[in-house]
Amino acid sequence: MNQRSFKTDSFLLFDGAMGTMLQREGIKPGELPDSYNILHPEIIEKIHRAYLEAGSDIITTNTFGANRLKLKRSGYSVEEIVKNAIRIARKAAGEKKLVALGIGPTGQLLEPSGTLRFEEAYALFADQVRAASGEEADLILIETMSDLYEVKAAILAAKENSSLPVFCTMTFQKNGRTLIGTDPLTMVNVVQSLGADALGLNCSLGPKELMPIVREITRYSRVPVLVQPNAGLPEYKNGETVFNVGAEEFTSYILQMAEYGVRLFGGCCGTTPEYIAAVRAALKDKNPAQCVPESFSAVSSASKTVKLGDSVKIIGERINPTGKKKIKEALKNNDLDYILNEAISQKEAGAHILDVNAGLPEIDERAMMVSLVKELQSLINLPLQIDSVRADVLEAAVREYNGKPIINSVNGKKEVMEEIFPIVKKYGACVIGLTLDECGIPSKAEERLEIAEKIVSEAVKYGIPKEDILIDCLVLTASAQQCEVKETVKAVAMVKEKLGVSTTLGVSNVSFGLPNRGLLNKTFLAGALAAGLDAPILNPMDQEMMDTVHAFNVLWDTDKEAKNYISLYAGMPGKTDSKEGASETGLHKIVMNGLKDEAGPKTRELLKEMGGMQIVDGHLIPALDQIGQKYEKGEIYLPQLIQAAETVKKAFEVIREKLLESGTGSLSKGKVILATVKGDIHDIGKNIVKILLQNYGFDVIDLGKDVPPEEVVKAVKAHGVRLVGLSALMTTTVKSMEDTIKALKESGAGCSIMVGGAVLNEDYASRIGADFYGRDAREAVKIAQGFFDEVK
Amino acid sequence: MQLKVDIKEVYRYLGIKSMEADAATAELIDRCICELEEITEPRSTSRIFGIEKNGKEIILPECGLPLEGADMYELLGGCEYCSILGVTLGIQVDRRIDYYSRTQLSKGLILNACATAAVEALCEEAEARVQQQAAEEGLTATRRFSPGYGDFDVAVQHSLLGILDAYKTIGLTATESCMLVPRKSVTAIIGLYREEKSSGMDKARAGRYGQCSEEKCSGCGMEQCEFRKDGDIIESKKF
Repeated sequence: MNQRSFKTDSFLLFDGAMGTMLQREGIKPGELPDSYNILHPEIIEKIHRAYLEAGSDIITTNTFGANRLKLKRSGYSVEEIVKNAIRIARKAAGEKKLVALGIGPTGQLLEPSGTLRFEEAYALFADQVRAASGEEADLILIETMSDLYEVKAAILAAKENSSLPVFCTMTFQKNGRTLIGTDPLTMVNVVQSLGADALGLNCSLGPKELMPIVREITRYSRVPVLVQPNAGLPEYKNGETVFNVGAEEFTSYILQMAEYGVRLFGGCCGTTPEYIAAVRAALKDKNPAQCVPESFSAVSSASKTVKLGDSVKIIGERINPTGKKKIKEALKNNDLDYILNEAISQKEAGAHILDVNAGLPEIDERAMMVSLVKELQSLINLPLQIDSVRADVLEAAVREYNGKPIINSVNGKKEVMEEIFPIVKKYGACVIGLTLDECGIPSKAEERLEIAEKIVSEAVKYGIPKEDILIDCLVLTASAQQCEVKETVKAVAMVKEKLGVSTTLGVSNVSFGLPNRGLLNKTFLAGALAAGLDAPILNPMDQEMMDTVHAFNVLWDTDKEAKNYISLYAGMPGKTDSKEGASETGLHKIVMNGLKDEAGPKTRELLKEMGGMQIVDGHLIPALDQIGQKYEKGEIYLPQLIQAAETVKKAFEVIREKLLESGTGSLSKGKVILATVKGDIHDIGKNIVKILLQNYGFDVIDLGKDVPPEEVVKAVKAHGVRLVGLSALMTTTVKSMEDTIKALKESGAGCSIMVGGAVLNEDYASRIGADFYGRDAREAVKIAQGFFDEVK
Repeated sequence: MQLKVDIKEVYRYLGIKSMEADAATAELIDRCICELEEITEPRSTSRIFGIEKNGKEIILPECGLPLEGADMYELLGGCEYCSILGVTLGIQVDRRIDYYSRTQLSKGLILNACATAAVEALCEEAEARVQQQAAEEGLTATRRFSPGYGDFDVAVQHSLLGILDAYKTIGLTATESCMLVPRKSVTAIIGLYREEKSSGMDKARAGRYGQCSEEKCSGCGMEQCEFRKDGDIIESKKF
């Protein structure tokens, strides 16, 4: 496309800071540096030239903040800023030197912390990239990123809208993580898998503080590493920010980094052409160190990387409707809370990775999978395994996944590989390869190895490294195909030895149809682990399976000095007694005292004597009313009220479970949708309303926070809901509450709306069109009770 | 930075009036404070600017920012300088509160209250540093005043963050609807004046604004404030 080529097998030198130089030129704090591309192009050109004269090979355009959000108040368009900036840089760089299109962070935090959605961030970056088309930029530099999710949006935007090479730097804090919590290994694992041509770090710290992070990155990165440190740490002197590391000292650290294998250098805040000239001079006559990065297989969430192969890693299998009535119900009813709790239980039980499957014919699998992925990644930091037979579901989910997931799965069938591998490659995922093909599952280990070989070699053709492949040699049931069980174990050993890839197995299939399944499962697991199974897919709440894994880690020398084993089992003569049926206290008292752990067993006990509805009306509601009155009198306070509410919730769960098993009746006193309105991220109040409504027997569909009006309307229609509760904290978001009410009324959905929030009152609520105002959660319950009584 | 959490403030945010929580709640508060200490990454930044008056409007010429409203004029009218301040506990605190809000609401609620008390304390520390810095220059500081107090429009939030380069320096941002993210954060303005020059302004008035402690609330125009103490409108009743 362009005439300038560059090689990263020699040192390449970027420029230094733009901001520092602009301050020297008199830019004011808060003034948009990008506007200088229009207002003072001569200043920008002068700065570029100074860096080129100092020896930079690549200069970066003055477009750090040139996105639609940041330019909104400036009156300039993204296109005019970007185009001008590239032209100025090109003019300075001439035909020989390189121009990098600089792309900085959006300046807002992405969901779930902030309100900017992933696809919105993508669109902002895509605008910047597209604005550069037709201009002479040589590469795209995504820089100074703190949020890995934003990095992913930016890399996808760059790659989908341009063919330029993409470099990417993130910025780290003293604690070795970015502000949002990403560690260096996670960054390398995700960014190189997404196809960045170079990666590294810049800003925040001086070269000295960056050194340990640089070491970590060079240890793992397969692509060239770029480092642009600040000129030390900022100090505030006489009203000005100065940096404490001079050009000479700066250069001495750069030389050390070069020894670690860094090939691309530049400077960030506080650096000037003087620094670049010093680095240029020091690197003269030097060649990059020849370092071979460590080979590793790993999956990552945004803040945690799980390496495969160094010890047994457990993939939790519970989030899958197959054979699980409650998950099925939860998926059908959009009850994400139940599924999230399933995820948390698995995490607490020791799972390292969670499999997520939403494959139920009667629901929109794709939409459900995407919302599950978003919810899970906002709540827990375990990497996810996206499990579906549909390629469109896999792609939608891995696109929005913040990290490097596992795709479950591909197999030896040609058309499946052709469909799935491009997704694996594009989104930088790991993938499970099942050893079956057009002819089914071969019975012999050797034949399964052959399919595994085919999968690995085919994947490599797509540019997927074999480190990213997990082979599943498929477990058959001992009841039906007894002679083939050992073939699976043999195949695991062969795949491990011949192909050197990671292995996985869905272990508990083996016992299907036989008594005492636990015994068969754990015996098989032990054998498979010894054969080289890296990542069993199992139920982490199954204590016997977990015991086997823990024991294996000791015997196979991966749990060094049996530390983990001892911490788990020391001082534990046998299993702890279950609390089942142990409670002597009445349910009423349990609720009054907020004894959460006792509520479930006691309810189970009571269910032997009476129906669920009787427990609700006879025990739970009276206890709730009493505690509510105490609260209103000021005898107890909010935390106790909520603890009682959590206790009641536990009792409800047990009753619901019973009803589901027997397939009779419903507890529901009515269905209510709750949402914290668009733009608002404060939702504790809504959560309090939710738990109290649930306590009083209402089914609550919780749409979460920052919910756009159209989503509320959609949910009301989809679930045929008659009462909607909206919350907003600030005056700025009450406007969005008003919009939501308007949208609901105009949609003809025919629902009533109750509202609540700190700045609202009766009058204000009716002015924005609400039907009811709830000053607190107890009043919201009364409104709902009154509403549904009347409807009846 | 050492984290300070005033238990009394935590009780206040939780609506515990007697200043005596039941044993279970008290224990949960202790646990939440410990957890908060582990996850919080307190950061703060501030910058000082000269002040000019243009009629009834205050302007900070070095950054071109107009500060509109009667309250800003009252706060800064007699000042020579002002300090713009930003503090945050970091994003992990938000995430942990959200986690408990979904899994154990009582803990979410308590952690939220502890974090509010902690960011308040962090703000006071930063304020004390500004006061000290001012004293070295012979200046006196007013109380701090945040966007959203009185008639100081929250829309100014984006400008303040831009001036502080707050995303880069402390990881502080605002949403389109001007909510700070991380949520447990504060931006504020503190006026700096010379005693002899502050003709139209006595200390008591300067001190009326800013930190909402009990005696200050009655003077504030925000009658709907969830933390207002002169009525019974406190957070626990206003969720």
